[in-house]
Amino acid sequence: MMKTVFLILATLISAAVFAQDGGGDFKVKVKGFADSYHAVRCNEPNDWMSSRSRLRGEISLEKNHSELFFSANAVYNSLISDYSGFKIRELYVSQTLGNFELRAGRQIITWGVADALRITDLVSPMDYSEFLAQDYDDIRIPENALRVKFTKNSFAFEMLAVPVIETFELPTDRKNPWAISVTGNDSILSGGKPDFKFKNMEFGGRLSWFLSGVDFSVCALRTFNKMPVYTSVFDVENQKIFLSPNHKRMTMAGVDFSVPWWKFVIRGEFAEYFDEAQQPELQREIEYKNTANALLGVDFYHGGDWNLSLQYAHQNENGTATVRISKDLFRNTFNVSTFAYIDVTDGGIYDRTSFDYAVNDILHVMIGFDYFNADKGMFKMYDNNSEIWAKVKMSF
Amino acid sequence: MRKILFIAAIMMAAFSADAQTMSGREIVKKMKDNPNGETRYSMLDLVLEKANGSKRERKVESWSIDVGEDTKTMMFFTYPGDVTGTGFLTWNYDEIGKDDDKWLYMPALKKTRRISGSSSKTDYFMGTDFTYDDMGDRNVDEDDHKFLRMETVDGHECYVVESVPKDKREIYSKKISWIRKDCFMGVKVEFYDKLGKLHRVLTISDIKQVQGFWTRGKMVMENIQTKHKTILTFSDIKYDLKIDSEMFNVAKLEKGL
Repeated sequence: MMKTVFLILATLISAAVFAQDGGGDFKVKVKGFADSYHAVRCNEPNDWMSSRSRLRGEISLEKNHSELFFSANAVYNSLISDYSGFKIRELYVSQTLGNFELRAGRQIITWGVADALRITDLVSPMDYSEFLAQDYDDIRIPENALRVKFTKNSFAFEMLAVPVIETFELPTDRKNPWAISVTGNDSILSGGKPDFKFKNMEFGGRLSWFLSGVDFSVCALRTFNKMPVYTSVFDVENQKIFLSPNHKRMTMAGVDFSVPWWKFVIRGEFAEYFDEAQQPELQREIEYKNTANALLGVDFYHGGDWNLSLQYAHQNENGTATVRISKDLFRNTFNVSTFAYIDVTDGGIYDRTSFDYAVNDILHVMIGFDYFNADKGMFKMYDNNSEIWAKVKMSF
Repeated sequence: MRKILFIAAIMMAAFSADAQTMSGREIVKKMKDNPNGETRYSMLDLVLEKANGSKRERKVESWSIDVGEDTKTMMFFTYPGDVTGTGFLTWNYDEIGKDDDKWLYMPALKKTRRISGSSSKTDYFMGTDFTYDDMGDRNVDEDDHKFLRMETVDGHECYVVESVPKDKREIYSKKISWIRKDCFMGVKVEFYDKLGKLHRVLTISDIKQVQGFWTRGKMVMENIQTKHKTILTFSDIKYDLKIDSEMFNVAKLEKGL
């Protein structure tokens, strides 16, 4: 149905374009998928953690050196009605002029070489409405941005400007089992986004070289802490803490590299955050400081369709590690993978193990297990959220 | 009668001399050096067929360019839908021991990742019966070649050459190739496993000239031991397109050629 809608839309747009200009190659590409995902908590009360179905459509219209790209989700969420509905994901136009490409509109911007961790990759924030229990490609939130990219041989330079920034999507509705809680006895107030003013524009640039034997980039971004820090007020009458999210100006300057060596690829990122807002203690003011952030990762391509990836990131005196192990079996029709976030500082862990079977070219059936274990730290609030999930996905 | 026998003897001697004047290495080198333009484009349709007849399909669009002895290739999956848009950029080096440079573009993540250029040569390409090495451009001197005999295949006179890999980590112990004498195109290759048993057989057909270049139209790789086979069909083949090596970079991988 979605494909039909997109095809009709594509036909109408293409007819309109041809009405204006009969020359040049006109290309229409349509793709997407439908999926249905359901998860149940392993521990008492064994309630449903998620139950949703979705249709994703993507359409690309190209003529000469111009492109219009549109992707959207139509979602039905049984548990949280606010998440049901039609939502534009990406919508941008781009124009290639010689070595330059201009792209304007809502788009996902990915920087750096890290996998699921953010050191220099600060442009597109994350959607934590189900924390990390979504596919990683669903978690990125597109930005309404203007991007100009210059490419020459193996060198690329991109500049971007984001008039109004997006921030992390953090659920606060207690009906959502992934709702965040900073203190365990709090109410989180909405707001905190920067004012819609020209001076609050996000902007930056990145220079990249992709050479034989090494890739490296340098980048800088004038941005905000898109993951908020919270100031708190204690309400004596209700014996409750009220938290206000704050997004404050900061600047990032960073580098990243990838070096293949034998069966390994070594990856690294380093970034200095200038004037980064720090999470204050209860009823204290926000403080700002310069912080050094670094990541080192290694991918091991053993062969035999095995992949192993390890990362360690040190950010603001906190250490996080990730481990990914993946194996394709039966001629790439069955994949077993596990991906773990390890809170090195506080000792917590979140691991997602999945089994993915391709029934045929277009239909996949997946089951998996999300495991949380933490006494403190970032995974503590989800310590009771271990779940078993199942998903079917049909691509077109 | 004696005159006829004399002429036959001379012809046999000439035939024998022709085969013997070319070593196994020279025959394989001539096959590898077959002109195929500076640049190439084709659509690849890969059908994976199990012994029980069930099939899966992959479709790939491919561009490549020669840069001296090296080759740069850009490939995009166009089917099935869950991998559509996934791209591979490979800088394949002819120099023995030099690892290829490889990048993988994942459209769902809008991200390009550097991947290892050394590990995958002996792996099977996307679940097919072709290894990455089969799909690439193997250096002639990575094997020791020996001319075995002449044979006729489908009415074409062929050199039969045995190639033994110098690197013992290869997945096969030897391969035997049938190479057409008239155009130096391979028509059949037998791959033998480490125990010396026949493992896979590659059959190449629909050999024709496109824009004056000898071209393979269809390749069938069958795993004799598992009865699984992959049918690779080329279409829309074009040579000497107006693209230059500068276009084989990561930015183009993310944007598409």
